[in-house]
Amino acid sequence: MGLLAPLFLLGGLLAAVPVVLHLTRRRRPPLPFPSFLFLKALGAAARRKRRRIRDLPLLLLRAAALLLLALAFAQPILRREAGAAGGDSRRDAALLLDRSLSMSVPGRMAALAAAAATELASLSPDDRAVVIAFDDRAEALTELTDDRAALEAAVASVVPGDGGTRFPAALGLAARLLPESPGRRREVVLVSDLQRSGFPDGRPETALPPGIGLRARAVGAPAPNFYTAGVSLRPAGRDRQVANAEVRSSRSAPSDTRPPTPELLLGGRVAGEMSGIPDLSAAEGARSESPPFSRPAEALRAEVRLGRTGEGRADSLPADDRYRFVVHPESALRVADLGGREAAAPIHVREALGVGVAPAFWLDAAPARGETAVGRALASGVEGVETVALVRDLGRLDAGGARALAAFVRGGGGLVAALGARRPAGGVIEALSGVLPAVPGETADRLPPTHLTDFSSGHPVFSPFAAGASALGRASFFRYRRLDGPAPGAEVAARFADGRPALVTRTAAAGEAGAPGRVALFASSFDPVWNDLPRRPAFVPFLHRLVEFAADYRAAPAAYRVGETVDPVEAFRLPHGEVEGGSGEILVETPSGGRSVLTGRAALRLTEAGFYRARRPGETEFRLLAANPPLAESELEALDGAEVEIAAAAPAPGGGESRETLAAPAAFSFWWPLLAALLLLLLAETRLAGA
Amino acid sequence: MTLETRAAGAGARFMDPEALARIANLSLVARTVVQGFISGLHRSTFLGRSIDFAEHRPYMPGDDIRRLDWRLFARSDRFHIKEFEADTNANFMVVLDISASMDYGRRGASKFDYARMLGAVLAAFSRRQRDRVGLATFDREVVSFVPPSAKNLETVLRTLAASRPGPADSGGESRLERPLAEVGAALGRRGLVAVLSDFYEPPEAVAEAFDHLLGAGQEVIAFQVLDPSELDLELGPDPEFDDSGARLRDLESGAVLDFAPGRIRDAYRDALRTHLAEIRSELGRRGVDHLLIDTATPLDFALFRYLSERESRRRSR
Repeated sequence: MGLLAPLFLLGGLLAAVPVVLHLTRRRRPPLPFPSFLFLKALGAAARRKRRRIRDLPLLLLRAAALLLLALAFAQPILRREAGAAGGDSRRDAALLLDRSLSMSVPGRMAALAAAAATELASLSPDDRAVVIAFDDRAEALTELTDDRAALEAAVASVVPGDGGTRFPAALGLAARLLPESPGRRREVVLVSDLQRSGFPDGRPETALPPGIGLRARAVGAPAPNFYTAGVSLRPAGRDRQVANAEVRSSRSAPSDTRPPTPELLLGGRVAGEMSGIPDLSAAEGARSESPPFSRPAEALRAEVRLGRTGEGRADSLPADDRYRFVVHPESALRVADLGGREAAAPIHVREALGVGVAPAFWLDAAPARGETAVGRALASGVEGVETVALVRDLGRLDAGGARALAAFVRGGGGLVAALGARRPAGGVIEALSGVLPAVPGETADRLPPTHLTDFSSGHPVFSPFAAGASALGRASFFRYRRLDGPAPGAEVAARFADGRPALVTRTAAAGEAGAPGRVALFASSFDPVWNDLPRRPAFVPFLHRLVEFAADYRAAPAAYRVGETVDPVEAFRLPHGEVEGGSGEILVETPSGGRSVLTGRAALRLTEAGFYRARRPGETEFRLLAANPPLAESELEALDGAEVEIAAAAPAPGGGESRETLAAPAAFSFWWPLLAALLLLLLAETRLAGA
Repeated sequence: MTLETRAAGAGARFMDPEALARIANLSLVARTVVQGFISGLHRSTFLGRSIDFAEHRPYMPGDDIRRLDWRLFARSDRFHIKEFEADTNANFMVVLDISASMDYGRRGASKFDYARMLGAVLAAFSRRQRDRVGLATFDREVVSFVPPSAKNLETVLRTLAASRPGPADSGGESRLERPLAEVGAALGRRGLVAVLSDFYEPPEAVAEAFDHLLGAGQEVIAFQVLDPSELDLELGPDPEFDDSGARLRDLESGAVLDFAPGRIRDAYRDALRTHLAEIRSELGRRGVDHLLIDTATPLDFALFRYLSERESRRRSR
C-alpha cells in the first residue's frame, strides 16, 4: 500500500470543517420570549450546554466524505508482493540499468550498482535474469541466465554515457528477452533515475505486454542543473564575415545557486566576455551574446561553457554545461540577376535577398541578351559559391540569352524565373524547351484579385511556412501569365484560386529528357505591380526558398545531438563527387579516438558528445562535426516509480482474461472505488440532511 | 368576506382571532364582533339600566323588548326603545399595554394584536351602550391618550390602529405604576377602566399600580392577555426549535439566555400558575375583576366572559 500523491492527505484536515461548522453555524437566531421573569427565577440548572454537537450521523458522514476525497486525491496504490500474482515460485527477471547521461550526476551510479546488487541477491537459484543497459538504445549485456557471476560482471560494466533516455526501447527489449515459460513468472526491474523525458511527451506509456510485471527503482534525487540549450551564429551588422554567437542557457529546476557565466571558446581559446549575463531565474532561460568574431576560412571548433575557466563546478551535471559547435566559413549563393543593365532588381528583391544569413545571397547583376554575355555572366563567380540564375521577366531574354541559360541549367545550374509584361518570344521558348517546366502564355487579369492556394504539401519551397502556407495565401494577385502544359516531371507546387498553375518546379531527378538543374517558374512577377506579394513579409522566406531550391542548398547545422543518425556526406560537408565516382569510403574518428570506415551511403550514428572528424581516403584535411548531449537529458525532472509501474505495465484487459493476467501489474491504483464510496456517502448525506 | 369561525362550546361558534387579525380595518373588526355578538344574544341582560329617561331611539334587533315604549308604539305604530340617562353618561376607558413583551405570539395573533382588537371591541360595544369611550396606551409611560367622549370612538379606533408595540430590546420593562397613575390623574369622572396587559410584574406591584385607578374612583377590570405558549412553555412546533436546548431572547430587555425548555417546563408552569393566582387574589381583594385570556380565545367569547363577569359581580353587589 502506498500513495502516489501523499501531500493530498493534508486535505484530510478539511474533515475538521464540518465539526467547526456544526459547532458554529448551527447557532440559530434566538427565539423571542416575552419575559424572563420566571425563567431567571428557575436558576442556572435550567440552562443547557452550549456548542454541543448535534446531528452526529450527519457530521460523521460529512467528515468521512472529506476524508475519502483527500484519500482518493492521494491516489493510493496497492503493491502486490512478488509471487502473489500467480503463485509461481520461479521467475525470469530483466534488470534494466540506466546508463544515460543523467546518470552521471554524482552518486547515481553508486545507487544504481547497489540497487542492482540487491536485485541480484534476491534471485533464488531457480531464477534467471538478463542484464540490459540502456540509454536511448537498449543493449543486452547477458543472455537470460542463472549465472550470478556473469550477471554481476555485466552490472559492474555499466557506466554512464552521453546518450539520452528512452524507456520504451528498454522495456521493449526486456519484453522480447523474457519468453513466456510455463511456471515462471516474468518481471522487469527498472533501475533508473526515471527521467520524465524518457517517455515521449513526458508521460509514461504502456511498453510491456500483459503478463510481465514491472518494478521501478528510482535512484538519485532531483538536482538543480544549468545547461546550454543551443547556440546560434548571426552576422554582426552588415559585414557577413563577422559573426557573433547567441547562447541560450536554461535550468532544469528552480535553484538559489548563482547562474554560471557562459564563456565562448574558438579553437580552444577564450573569445572574450559574453554580454548579457543570463538570468536563469527566468523560466524560459536566458540569452547572452558573444563579442563579434571573424568567420574562419575553414571549419573551426567552437565551444560554449557554462562557468568560466577557473570557476567552480556549476551544478550536478557538468557534462551538459559544454556545448560544442563548428563555425563554418560563410555559406553563400550567388544570384545572377538576368535583368539587363537597364533594369536593376527592384528594391523588394534586393532587400529580400540582402537579409539572407545562412546562406547569404550575393545578388549579381547580369545581362539578359547575348549568348556570350549571358553565358559569361553565369559562368563567372567565386569558387565554392554556387550560382543561381534569377530571371525576373522571361520576356527580357533574347534567343541567345535563352540558349546560354538553357546550357547553364543543363550543366546543373539552378534557375528561378518569373514572368512579366513582355511575353517571351518564340525563339526564347524554343531555346528553353526542355528547361522550363511549363510554357508561358497570355496574361490573365483578376479583379477581384485571386490568391495562392493548393500548396503542394512537403514541397521544400513551402517548408518555412505553417501548414497550408496561409501567409502566402493572403497575397493578392491581379495579373499573371497562364502556364500551359506542365512538362513531364514538373510539379505544380501552387495554384491560383481559379485553378491555374502559379508555381511550377522541376528537379534534376525528374528531368529525364531535359535539364539536370532545378528550375522554379513563377506565373506572376516579383515586383508589386501584378501582385502585392513583395510587400508582404512572406515574400522574404518565399524568395529565399526559391533560390535555395534552385541551388539544391541544404544547410548543415553547426552541431548535432548524441543519438542522431546523420548522413556523413552532408553532416561533414564532404564532397559529393567522390561518393559517386570513387570508392565512397569515409574515415570517421569519434571524440574518444575510435576510428571506423563507412562505406557507400552508410549512416553514422552519433553516440558520443564531442567533435567527430571525417575525411575521404587520400585527403589530408579532416572535416568536423560537433555532437552534444541530448537536450532532454538536461531536464532532470523525475517520474514517480509507482506512476511508471502503473502506466508502463500492460493495462488490465476488460473481461475474458485469466486472474493471473489481471493480477500481473505489480501495483494498481484504487482511487476510483474511493470516489464511488464518496458518491454513496454524499447520497446518504443528502437523504439524511433532507430528512 | 369570509371569516373563519371555530367551535367554542356546544351550540356556539366564535370568530377566530387569527382571522380577525388579518383584517386591517380595526373599526370593521370591532363592528363585526360586536354585531355578531349582539345578534347572538337572546337576552339583553347585560345592557346598562338607569331610572332617568333620556330619549327614545328606534328599536334594533337584540334590544330588550322589555324596554320598548308601548305607548309610543300605540301612537306611532313603530318600535322605540327608551334610553335612560345612566346609559349615556358612563366613561369607558381602554388602557392598553404596548410594551415590547406584548409583541409576542407563537400561535396565531400576537398578544399586541389580540389586545388591540379586544380593546377596539370593548370600546365599540361600550359606545353602542352610549358610553363615552377613551383610550390610553403605555409602555413605561403613557404613549397616547384619548380622553373619554361620546364622539371619540373613531379616534379611539384610529389610535389603536396606529399604535405599534414598543421597540424590542429597548432595555426597559413595563412598569404599570407610573402610567396607571397618570391615567388615574387624567380621568376626572368616574367610570370603567379596562386595563389590557400581560402583567409581567410582581403581583404586589400590579396591585399597587391599580390602586392609583381605584383611588381615583374608577371601576377597574384587568384583562391579562397571554399567548398559549406562555402558559405551557410549548414553544414548538418549529424547525429551529429544540426542546432540549433553545436560545431565548427577552423581548423586554434584549437579554439572551440558553435554556432547556423540556427540563424546566413543569417548574415554569407552577411558577406561572402561582403568579396568576397571586395577581387574581391581590386584585380581587381590591374589587378588581381579573380575566385571563389567551390569544386563542375568540374575541366575542372574551367579550362574553367580560360581560358575564360584570353581570355576576353586579348581581352579587
